[in-house]
Amino acid sequence: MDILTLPFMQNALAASLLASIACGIVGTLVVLNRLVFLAGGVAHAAYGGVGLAFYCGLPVLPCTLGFTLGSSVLMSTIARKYKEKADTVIGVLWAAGMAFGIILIDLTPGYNVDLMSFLFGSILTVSSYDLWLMFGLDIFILGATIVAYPGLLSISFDAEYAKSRGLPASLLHTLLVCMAALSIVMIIRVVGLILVIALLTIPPFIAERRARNLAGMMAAAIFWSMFFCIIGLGLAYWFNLTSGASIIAVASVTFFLMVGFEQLRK
Amino acid sequence: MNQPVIDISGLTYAYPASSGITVLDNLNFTVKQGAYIAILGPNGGGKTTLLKCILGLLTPQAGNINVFGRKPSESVRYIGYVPQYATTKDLFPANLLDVVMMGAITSPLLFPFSRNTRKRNEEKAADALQKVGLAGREKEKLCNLSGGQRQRVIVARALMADPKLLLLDEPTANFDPSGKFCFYEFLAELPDDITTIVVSHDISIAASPFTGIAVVNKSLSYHEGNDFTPDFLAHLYGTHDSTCPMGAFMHNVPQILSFKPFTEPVTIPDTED
Repeated sequence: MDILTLPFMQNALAASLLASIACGIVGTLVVLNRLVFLAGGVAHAAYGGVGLAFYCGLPVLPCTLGFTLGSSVLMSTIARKYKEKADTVIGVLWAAGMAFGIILIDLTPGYNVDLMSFLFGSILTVSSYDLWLMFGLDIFILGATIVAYPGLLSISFDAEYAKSRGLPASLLHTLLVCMAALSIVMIIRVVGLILVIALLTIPPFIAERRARNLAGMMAAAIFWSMFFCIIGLGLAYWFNLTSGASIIAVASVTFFLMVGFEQLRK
Repeated sequence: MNQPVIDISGLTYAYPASSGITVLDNLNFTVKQGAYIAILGPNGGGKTTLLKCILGLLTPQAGNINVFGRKPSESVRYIGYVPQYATTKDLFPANLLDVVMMGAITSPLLFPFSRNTRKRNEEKAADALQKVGLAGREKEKLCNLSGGQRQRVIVARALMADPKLLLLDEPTANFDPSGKFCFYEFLAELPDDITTIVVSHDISIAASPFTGIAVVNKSLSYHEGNDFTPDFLAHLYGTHDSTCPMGAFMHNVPQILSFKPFTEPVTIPDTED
């Protein structure tokens, strides 16, 4: 248990647990509303904001946040208005945002691109400042979800019916996409792009099978996410593996075991 | 004199994505309180579009729609809606009671809900499930139900709103013949103050005592009563030819309409060699 006495491991564990709370809640809504592709697009387009910040010498976090929120609202509006073309347009914005970011970083004098760090994050170098930011994010997401729970439940089950009852379905959809964008920007710096997408999708997918209601599915997704993070971090420490990739490997193996087990039962 | 529940004048609608092709053209229609109307018409005729305009989900390019004397968006609390293909999310984590209670959500925020309200809504949802023949199954998950049973749950959700106007879009798409008959009988028995409009392709709809039939195919023609003669249906779907499968089907309509579900268990006699 000497692993827990190391300050960088304590921070890594705290970061992954805090990321699990945001990803469990937002991921559940993303999966139920079938917005996984959109969330992937937002996560990749975020890199455009990072490039813009470096190139223009702006503070990275606010610049990335603004860029990502803008691109997420754009993608969500297109997805709602032109449903049949949504996947194509999201795909274009996905690639364009990332290419834009890489080109801007190429053009930034004296900065070398560390794409691996962006893809898999650097959870072992998380600072206390990052932890406080993630804690604040969790409070915001938890609060917004509790307050707008009936509306989010209604649009997640049947958006057209929610709209016919006079609920602001478009506004709730935008709120959901903005929560996803916020989570992605805050967590991507810590755990990386790939882990954010894995934590947004795999735990809710597993939780959906047994959950009795929306809140229960969120709680189960948080539990599974924390479980993957703890086991993954332990394996990374003992076998000297990349922590983000290790967490994803644990989640993916569990995912395939679950799917295989379900198929065998049928 | 009763105020019309729905008053439509000069309604014209074209989907923006379809190069401005007009789906509904200068449509006029009035529905009185307590009416029980079937909307029929061929695919692409504009039936669902008309329903969505009445609900305020689509905004027409021209014309006026008044529902209970107001704009559709101001009348939502009086309308119960059963959408087409409503229950596609099989694994959605909700039991039947939760799904039906969604019909009572009128605000996106949690705060208007108190414990008493929730208890009242639970009792009301259980009552709505009983009305659609699913009493005692409140705690079951939606994914354990057949297509027809799920549709009944969605109808129960619409009843949660205490609707004065019930709009149903292809409600019996997943029903077996007996289920269809019982379902339309259930609709016919709803209180007289509820105005009901059913969009359907289903010929067995004719067995239900509609007060009128609206045929929508870009324009709208309204027929009092439920006189589903073979000639009327052949005219409606565009074939008189009894040699083609559709025409032959139309000529068998009187037999179809005389269908009644078995009320007693059917015993098949043993055959002896």
